[in-house]
Amino acid sequence: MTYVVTENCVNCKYQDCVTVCPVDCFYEGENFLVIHPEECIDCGVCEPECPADAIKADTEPGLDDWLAINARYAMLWPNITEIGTVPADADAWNGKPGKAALLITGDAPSRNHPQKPTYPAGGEPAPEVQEGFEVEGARIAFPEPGAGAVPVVLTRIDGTGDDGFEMDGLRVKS
Amino acid sequence: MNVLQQPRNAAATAEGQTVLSVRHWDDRLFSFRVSRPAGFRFRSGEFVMIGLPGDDGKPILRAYSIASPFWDEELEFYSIKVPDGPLTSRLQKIVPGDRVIVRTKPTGTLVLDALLPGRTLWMVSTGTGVAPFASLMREPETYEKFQNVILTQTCRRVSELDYGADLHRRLLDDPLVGEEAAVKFRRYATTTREPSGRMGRITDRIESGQVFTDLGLPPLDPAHDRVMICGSMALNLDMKRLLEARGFTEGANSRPGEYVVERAFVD
Repeated sequence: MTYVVTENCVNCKYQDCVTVCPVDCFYEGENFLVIHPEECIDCGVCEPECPADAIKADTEPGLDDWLAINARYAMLWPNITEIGTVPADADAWNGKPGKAALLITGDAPSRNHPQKPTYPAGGEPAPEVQEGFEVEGARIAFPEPGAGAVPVVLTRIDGTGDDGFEMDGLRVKS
Repeated sequence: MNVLQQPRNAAATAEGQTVLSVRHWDDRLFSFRVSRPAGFRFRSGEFVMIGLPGDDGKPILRAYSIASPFWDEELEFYSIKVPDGPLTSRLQKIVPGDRVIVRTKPTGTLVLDALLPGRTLWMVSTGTGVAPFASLMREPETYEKFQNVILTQTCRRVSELDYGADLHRRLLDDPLVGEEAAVKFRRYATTTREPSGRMGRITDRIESGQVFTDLGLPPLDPAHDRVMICGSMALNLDMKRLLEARGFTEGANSRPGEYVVERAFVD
């Protein structure tokens, strides 16, 4: 079992959880925090501390996607052990619906840690090919790393226009 | 004490502390005292990560409530012995002079800061869940804030209540709170398996009202009662249900309420 940071942390990032975590298992992205599932000791202290009620036990149903996000970005984002700057508009974002689409997962420097993120042993992950990829007769362009929630545009390779689709951010499942 | 004003030992570096004494209460329970890391501060009721180096050199750490008062030069911990437990199978063999790792980032929800003002403080525990209350029952602020301080502990066997009984005896000699505790503090111990003077789960005794009759107190009411819970998962969940049905809300450091809950940590 582990605790999991979920949608309502996005753009709020209050970090009260970081202050109380006995094992410093939080990792920080631009507008979201995650818990390392293998470092969390299930003490549960962070859960009631979160002003956004964003931390849940993974025994609650329907958290698989968030658990995967926590597990993945705990490997990529820098560890955070002390509370940093809380976004000035955190309260305004608290409780807003649809925040999952605004989650920034790129490796851009964060507001609290302007330096480049540090990566665990094994070094920085190999940069992914950013140009995009082709599917039957069309091209999907990836957004710039760290650009946050931007539309992903699908264009025709034959140049007859870009009447493709857009989606918020980008989600690629390997 | 305001949590925001208290410097936190966020660096949380692992440090070896010296074991000063060990006491075995029965075949499954023991307590031990270690030296206190320099500059280490905590709030009564908090826990820290402690442990031993593992065979691969990586420390095996578990959460332990600090069972000694904040002013004590030593730190006390109260532990179960789990035969196959990765930590306690080895920890139970420590002797004075051995070293134990004590991480210096204390935390927890069983703190007075997480509760709203009230009249009666209920500290409800099973087994080793009594440990954080061993610290809180010797905290002067506990008696400044509450008129009645009730410690309940439920165990299977009578010998498992010995540690709590010893705490109660020594409380009356406490230099800071002894006099006030003699008036305000009461201990309410029950067993669930071995026959004793008082048997049954505390949750059953709350539902039936027996505990209130025994102590001469009114039934639990969020208007005047505050509750701290530390026990088995079953106790914690049952108490949570019972309190929320009576209108209690859960508190936290950032948002004080009428009750707080924490697991009694086991291997």
